[in-house]
Amino acid sequence: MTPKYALFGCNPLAIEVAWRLSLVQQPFVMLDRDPAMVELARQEGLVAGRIDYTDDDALRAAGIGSHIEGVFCLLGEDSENVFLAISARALDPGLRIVSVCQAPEAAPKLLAAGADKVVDPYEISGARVHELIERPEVVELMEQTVFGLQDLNIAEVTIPDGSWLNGVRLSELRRRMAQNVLLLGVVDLERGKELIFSTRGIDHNLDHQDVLVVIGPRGDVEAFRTMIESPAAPAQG
Amino acid sequence: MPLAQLLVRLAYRLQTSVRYARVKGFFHKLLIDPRSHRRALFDACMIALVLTSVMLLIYEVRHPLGPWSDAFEAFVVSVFIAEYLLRMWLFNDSHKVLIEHWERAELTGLPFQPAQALWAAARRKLAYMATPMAIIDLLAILPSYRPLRFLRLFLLFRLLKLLRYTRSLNTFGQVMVEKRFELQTLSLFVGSVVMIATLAIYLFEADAPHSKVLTLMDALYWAVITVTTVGYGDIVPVTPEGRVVAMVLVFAGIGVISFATSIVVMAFHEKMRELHDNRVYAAVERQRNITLVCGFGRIGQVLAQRLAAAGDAFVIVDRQAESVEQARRLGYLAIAGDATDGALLASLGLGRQARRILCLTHDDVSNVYITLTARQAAPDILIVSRANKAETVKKLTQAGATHVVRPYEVVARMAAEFIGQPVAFDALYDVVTRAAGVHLEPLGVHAGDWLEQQRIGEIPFGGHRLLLFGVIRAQEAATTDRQARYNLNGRHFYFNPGPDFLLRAGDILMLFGYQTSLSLFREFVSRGWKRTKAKP
Repeated sequence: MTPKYALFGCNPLAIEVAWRLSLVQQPFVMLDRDPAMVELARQEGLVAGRIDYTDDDALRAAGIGSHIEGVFCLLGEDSENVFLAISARALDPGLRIVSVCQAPEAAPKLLAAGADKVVDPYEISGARVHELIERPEVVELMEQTVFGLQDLNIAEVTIPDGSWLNGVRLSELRRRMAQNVLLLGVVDLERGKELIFSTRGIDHNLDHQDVLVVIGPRGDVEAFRTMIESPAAPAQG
Repeated sequence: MPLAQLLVRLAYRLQTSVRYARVKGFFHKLLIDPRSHRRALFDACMIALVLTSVMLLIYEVRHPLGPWSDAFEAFVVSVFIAEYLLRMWLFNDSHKVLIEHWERAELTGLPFQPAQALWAAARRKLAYMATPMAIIDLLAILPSYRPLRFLRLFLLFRLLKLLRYTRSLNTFGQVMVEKRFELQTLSLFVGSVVMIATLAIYLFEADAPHSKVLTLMDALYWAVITVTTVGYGDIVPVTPEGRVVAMVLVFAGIGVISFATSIVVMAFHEKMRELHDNRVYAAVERQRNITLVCGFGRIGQVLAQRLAAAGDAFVIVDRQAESVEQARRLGYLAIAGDATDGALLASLGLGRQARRILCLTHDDVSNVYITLTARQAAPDILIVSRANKAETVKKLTQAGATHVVRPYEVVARMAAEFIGQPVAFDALYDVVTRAAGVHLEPLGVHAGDWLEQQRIGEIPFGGHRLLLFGVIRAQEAATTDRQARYNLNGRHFYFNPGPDFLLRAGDILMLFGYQTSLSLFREFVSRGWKRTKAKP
């Protein structure tokens, strides 16, 4: 199977990410400069290879610019991740790049280097501990359902060209929604790229390429997706 | 032996009396406990009293004040006497000495000798009276006794009492005691130098013409003035030999002064940490509930920032002095120390007012150990632990952690989810971290609430701009059929329940919405309750 994602770094964090990706059955490859680290990942039973990421040709050979859709920059040094993000972005402008950062100052640099999302492990972990002590029910709920392995998922559905929803109001969609899903919010391109939560109570005028964010059991989410993508409106339920 | 029996019975009664223990505890807090708030107040009052009484005394030397000042003096002395007696009482428990003697007599079969036991108890009290602080206290009282009026001068000893009430002065005394060895060495050195210089200058100058050194006393005075580098210049050596002695003595003097300074400075430097720590302990003691944060790495920093923003009281423990320094610069309470040390945690309120403990060190071994220590000391404390390795999660749970956070897992999940569906994931993350203003909040249904026995379809969530995520309900017989139901550690989560879903007491509604909508809805619910109450 050709890998869709490239994980740079074979450290424990990268192995954790790899495990997550294999849970959702996404093909990936792990890459590192250090043969010892590569060996470590291989011992875990993961597909890993050695690469000199400072070499653009090597990156190209690894599939960036061709079959790789997303890159994880999980190297130990912020400077390495910045370098990698710049190289990868130059090779493929459409690539999705996620990076970790060690120092908070590195986050804007990584974004400037072309990363789509910067994850600060310490910030997130600290925030989590705080949430755990402040609002344990909420965290527990999220842990067990949406983030956990139970069948409750959050999903985004982009309205395709030729969908019946083109030009339809949100209230109209609500009336015709028969699936057991919650509509959390909409990215209405007329109003910008930010997600607008449905609790704002705006009756959006939906267009193609707008994104709907929903939560629900997998089956219902899939049914909802099919309904959105079909050219004909469903009968009113 | 009725007297002996009476004594023993009294001792046992005191031993078991709750009230006696409470009263003693109260005075202990007032007079002795260095971390109590009350003691600080008491000390301040006593300082004021001492200063006023001494000031009056000095004023009185030239201006007689009449009966008011006498009355005040009597008041001051009675306070001092009461304090003296209380301190003597608090010093130890005499009834325990009695009981000990009694039990020993019982054990060995020898007759119990009340006189001996009483003498043993009295000896302990006498031992207290011989401590320097007790002597100072006594000296502050005695001169007021009329036949001893000639001891008026000793009333100034009251100023020494200030030592007792100001902790920093106290520290100075402690420093002197701790550096006893160095100070002894120094005084030995100074003594011999001064003696040699005295004798030398006397030998060379006593019968030189125009010399002012006439007696040994003159020589000693000159030597002391010179060695301390004061050098008044009223007595100066006139012979070349005398001048050589002076030159040598000046250099010795510089050495002595720098040595003395370095001893005191170093001792204070060492004490500084302790002083800081004492301040932290006192501040911790004042809090009603406090969070202990073990480890001030990056995660600890983020957490501290959030806790501070939320206005929660917390104290940081870290092994590294630099981290503690940094925390203090940020204005947080922090102690340098090993969090695996149970005694340290106990003095930070573990088992008393500490409600939560967060083990966030880099080291899994330490985290497990802290978790275990905390759980044993406080069975109902909330413990959140950090696990760096996946294997540690189970161990932490076993050790008693309420929640375990694994940083790698959290990050990996975020990164992996983001790749798949960035918008959705960002949205959820914003909700969970409350970054975008939309919160997911629980709302409990209580017995007798308006919400109780209400159907979901009848509650105007939409009108309040809220989105019902679901209902959490204690696990019991499955009454609601077709609802999508999820397992939640012994409870059920009903996702997006239908309009017929009937709410019960004990349910928790999980609502999405802006903060204002949520608080408006809470208000609406409580008003609704009054409405239904008023109807029948």
